[in-house]
Amino acid sequence: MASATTAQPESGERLIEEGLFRLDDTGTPRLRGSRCSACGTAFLGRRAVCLACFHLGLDETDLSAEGEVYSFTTVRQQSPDSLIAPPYTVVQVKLPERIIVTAPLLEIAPEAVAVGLPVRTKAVRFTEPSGQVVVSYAFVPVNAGP
Amino acid sequence: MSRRVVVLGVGLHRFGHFPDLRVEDLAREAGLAALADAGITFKEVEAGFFARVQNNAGVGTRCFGQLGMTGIPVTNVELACASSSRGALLAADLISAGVYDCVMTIGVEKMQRGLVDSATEKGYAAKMGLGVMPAVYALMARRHMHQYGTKPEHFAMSAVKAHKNGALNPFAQYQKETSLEEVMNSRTIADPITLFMCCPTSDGASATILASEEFARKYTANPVFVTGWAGGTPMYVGGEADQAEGPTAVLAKQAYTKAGIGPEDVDVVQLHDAFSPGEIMTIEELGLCPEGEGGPFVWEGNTALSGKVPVNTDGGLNSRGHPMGATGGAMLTELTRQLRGQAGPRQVKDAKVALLQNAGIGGMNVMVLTR
Repeated sequence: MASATTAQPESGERLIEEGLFRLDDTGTPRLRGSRCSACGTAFLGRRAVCLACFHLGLDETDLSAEGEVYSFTTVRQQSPDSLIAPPYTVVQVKLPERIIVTAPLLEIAPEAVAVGLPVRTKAVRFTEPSGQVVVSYAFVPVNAGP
Repeated sequence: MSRRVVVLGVGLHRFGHFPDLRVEDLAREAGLAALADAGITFKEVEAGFFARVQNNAGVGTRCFGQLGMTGIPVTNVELACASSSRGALLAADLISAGVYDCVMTIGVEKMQRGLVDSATEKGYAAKMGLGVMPAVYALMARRHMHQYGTKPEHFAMSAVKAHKNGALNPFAQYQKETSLEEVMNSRTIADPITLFMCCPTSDGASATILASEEFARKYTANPVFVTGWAGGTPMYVGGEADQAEGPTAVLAKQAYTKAGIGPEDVDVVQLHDAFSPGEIMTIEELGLCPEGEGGPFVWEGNTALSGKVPVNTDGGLNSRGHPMGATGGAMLTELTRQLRGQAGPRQVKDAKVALLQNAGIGGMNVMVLTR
């Protein structure tokens, strides 16, 4: 069960995966990246070794909250651990850092999705089978409502 | 000084669902078939590789132990769907370097029905339903459609061909032809991929015996040689973090160079069609058709049995089935039979050069066989 919100995680809630993203002070999910202090290349997630120059020492950084759709598909089969029931749209989004991330795409009809569509991150809450509320992120079209 | 490597023996347990058979039973049948095919006894095998993805401790030793307990080193190899071809690659490395004369690889899997999920821990990807393999291929397929105008019918034609070839293969999981309409109209899993474009979950086993030329010539007058091989993992390429399963084009070039051939010399192919778009994309990466033209190339029948470069003559993953650990060895088995002239109704005329491409999460292997 998903509901849209822009607030910080409330008491009792937790992030769906620690270290994956944080909510900035506008409630916008910012994916965690690592930027090499030697060559400046950015990577998705936590990295200790730069893949471009092999430098040891990358700084935590927020990745861009906006990008464009690189590819998409609508999944119509339930996968065992998924909190999202089919049909749902999965996208690869290319961020300005030239990083491609995979995430759900919400708030748009499947037929309206196209390569190049501008999208932004949005916090989305789900309730796990245990009752635990988790704060996750998805993409939505840049022009979707709050 | 590197020695020539021969595929001396190949064998399979049929692919399908066998709830009453244990992993050891499947492995034993394939292993015995390969030994009989090679004309050797288990005593001649000097080392073993055991390929299984859903593994537990000691199962490799137990499976080889079904054939004999001669004390040889048995090593477990896991490279997801490319496990048993990596086992064969390692065998080729060891034989060509003079470490062993005769090495057997057994690949087995017993699988639950349903989707295979590449998201291992229960984190974001698993909980957001992102890691399911059809979705991974669907994203690549959609990108291909966007870049080159490839159509869903092109992907469907790969499945039609796979079923047609599977109908000629008594070891295939599916031995029934299917029409283009049936493929297109089957349930959509993750568009553009429909149910009939997906490989099934399967139980099954394969076994391959590689040997040095000197050893092999005691048992065969007409050896099939492994003349080129290369294995790899995905490479960082400056920001374009693709979801591809490995650097196919790079490895193919390495294997072609080692074998002294080019893609135009290839007579018959086995490649990783876990989902039908895989055939369209992979034939381009292997240099079998120009970049971007994989869709029309398959649509026009060029990879059919009667076509310019037959692909997956035994039905491929789509119809032969896909017990993950066994698939690489099954690819090697079909190609060896093709080069020996033993493929029966699936025989490609005058096949002399064969190409194998086997991909898995975390790695990929390419091999060239030459008669």
